Amino acid sequence: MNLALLAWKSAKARAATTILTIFSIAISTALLLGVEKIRDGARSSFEQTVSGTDLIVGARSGPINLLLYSVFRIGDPTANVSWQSYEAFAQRQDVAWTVPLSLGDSHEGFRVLGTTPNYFENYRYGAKRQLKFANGAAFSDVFDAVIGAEVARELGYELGAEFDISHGLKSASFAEHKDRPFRVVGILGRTGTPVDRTIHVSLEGIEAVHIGWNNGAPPIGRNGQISIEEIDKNQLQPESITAFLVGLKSKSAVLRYQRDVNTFRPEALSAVIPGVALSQLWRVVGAAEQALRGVAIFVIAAGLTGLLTTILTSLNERRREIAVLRSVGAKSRDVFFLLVCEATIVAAIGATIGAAAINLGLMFFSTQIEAAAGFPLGGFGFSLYDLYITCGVIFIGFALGFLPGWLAYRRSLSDGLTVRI
Amino acid sequence: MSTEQTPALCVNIQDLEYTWANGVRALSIRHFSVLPSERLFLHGPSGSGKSTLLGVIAGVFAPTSGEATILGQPFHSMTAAARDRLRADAMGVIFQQFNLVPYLNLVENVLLPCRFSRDRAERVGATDAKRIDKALHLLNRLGLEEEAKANRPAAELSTGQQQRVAAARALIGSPSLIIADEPTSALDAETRDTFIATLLSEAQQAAVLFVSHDASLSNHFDRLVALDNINFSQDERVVSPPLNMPARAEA
Repeated sequence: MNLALLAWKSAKARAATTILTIFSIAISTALLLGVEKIRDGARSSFEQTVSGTDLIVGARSGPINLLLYSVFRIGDPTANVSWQSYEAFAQRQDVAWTVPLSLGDSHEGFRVLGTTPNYFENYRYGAKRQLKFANGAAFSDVFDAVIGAEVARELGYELGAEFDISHGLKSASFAEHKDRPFRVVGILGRTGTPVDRTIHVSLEGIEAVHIGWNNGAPPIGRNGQISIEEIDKNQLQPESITAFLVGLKSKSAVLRYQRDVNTFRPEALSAVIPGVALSQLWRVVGAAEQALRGVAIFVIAAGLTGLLTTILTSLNERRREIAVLRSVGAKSRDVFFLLVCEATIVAAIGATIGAAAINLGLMFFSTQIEAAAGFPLGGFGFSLYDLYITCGVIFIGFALGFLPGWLAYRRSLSDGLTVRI
Repeated sequence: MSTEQTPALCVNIQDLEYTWANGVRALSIRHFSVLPSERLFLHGPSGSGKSTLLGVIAGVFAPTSGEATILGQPFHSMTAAARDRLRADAMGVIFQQFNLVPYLNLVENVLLPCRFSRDRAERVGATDAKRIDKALHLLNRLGLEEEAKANRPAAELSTGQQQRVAAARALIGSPSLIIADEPTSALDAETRDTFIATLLSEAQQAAVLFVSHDASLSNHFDRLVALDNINFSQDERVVSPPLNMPARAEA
């Protein structure tokens, strides 16, 4: 206790370097913990992008590909699912609900998703959370649109806003469906999933803008074009969709349903279980998180090296101080522990400040960070992991203190009481 | 170290040899002793091995061979930790300069030995408050009343004031032996005489081993010993030092 007090006073006496060292350890600890928290948040929000859906069915392809285009709206499907096949699987006895998805158009870089109103009832994300309307309601007319929170924020659209959609993904696509204005009738609450960046319209709406199109090419010449008024709403039955989500009445039916889809003779289809595909995909994305963690660990190493440098640098100017302590009865091992104490104290203060700062920072700024990151950062507050890392940093500080401690110990033996520098 | 029994000799050195790790012999002393309460002036120019001898007497260095009985304790056969404890219990050491721990205030510096010896702390006072009182009282007697009250860091004092604080630290808790290694070299002539007079009058029962290269200071003391007359290390070199290492008689 005596030695710890002396070590503390000694560290305090060199306030400038001590504070800088504490600061660098605090920053590096905060970074490591912050990276870990954001990693956790990203991972759990990623894994909860879709929940409550038993199967996703699309044209035959790898599960990751199907997941990417149907849920994350990344990439394009290799083929479509015919309406007949969809009907066949949607009308089975074991099906509780299905939601068709039709992709391919965009507006200002945001994907347009054609679906049915029961999308808003059956789509679940996070801990089986349902989509909520911040404003308005689900679409009921052909040219009604429901936009995600991020679409509304970035484009500044409110209820009643009108817009066109373009074919394909580019924001300045050549082939624009200029003559078919959509109108915003609903704005969804923020979910932290790709839903926020999606424009939802009815399947009929998607069909309507493509009337007269052939194989993805716009109608040629004046004759091929039909005005909005001419569209017969009863003819808007889609021929195909991109994929569909399936909810089954019983979980035990999942594997059988999946097998039936995968072995469906009339059309080459795949069914994937979202959770399985998500964790497969995370393994790919996870390489980046490992790199992030690696960087954070190096930053910690740099911070602790700074601590060691500071103490080693101070050793020379402290030779006399150590001789004085020896003269009043300090044992050589007291000198050793004095330096180990000092390293431990500085590391402990730094790590604690870092852990506290990142937790308080995330607590106060979580809303802003979530908005910027695009996903919710669940589980704030001091976790067991934080405790491990904080203790780990303190322990490494303690262990690093052995080096200056040992040097000072050796020196105190040969210096004796007289130090001439 | 128990204070009840008064050893016949405060320092008793017989056939002491001290050789550095590099083979250079620093000390070879047939006999050297300090009586209890004696004020002994040890004259030694630099290079005479005095720092090494003081290191042995203070228990920081263990003799290579021979006997060093300090305050009745056989230092030549004790562990380093036991010698350190005796130094904390019963010795006071004053250096030439830089005696104070810069980040402690005057009272903390004076009470530093109490952190390393419970015996000494109890002799000074039963409680922290009593010990602080005692330290302030001692600083008062040494003319450092104002400085102690101002709670100034030790580094802000003049050299003369720092030496007086060091004296107070050496004297606190009535040690049996005070070792002063050139304590007045950094002081001017006037301050020097006052310092020695104060130190000797405050030391009371303690033996004072005062080391200096300046023989003119010896008139303050009971006895004068010239280190050159008792240390024969220069005459018979046991092992020659390595070629690339300058021969030196002290660290």
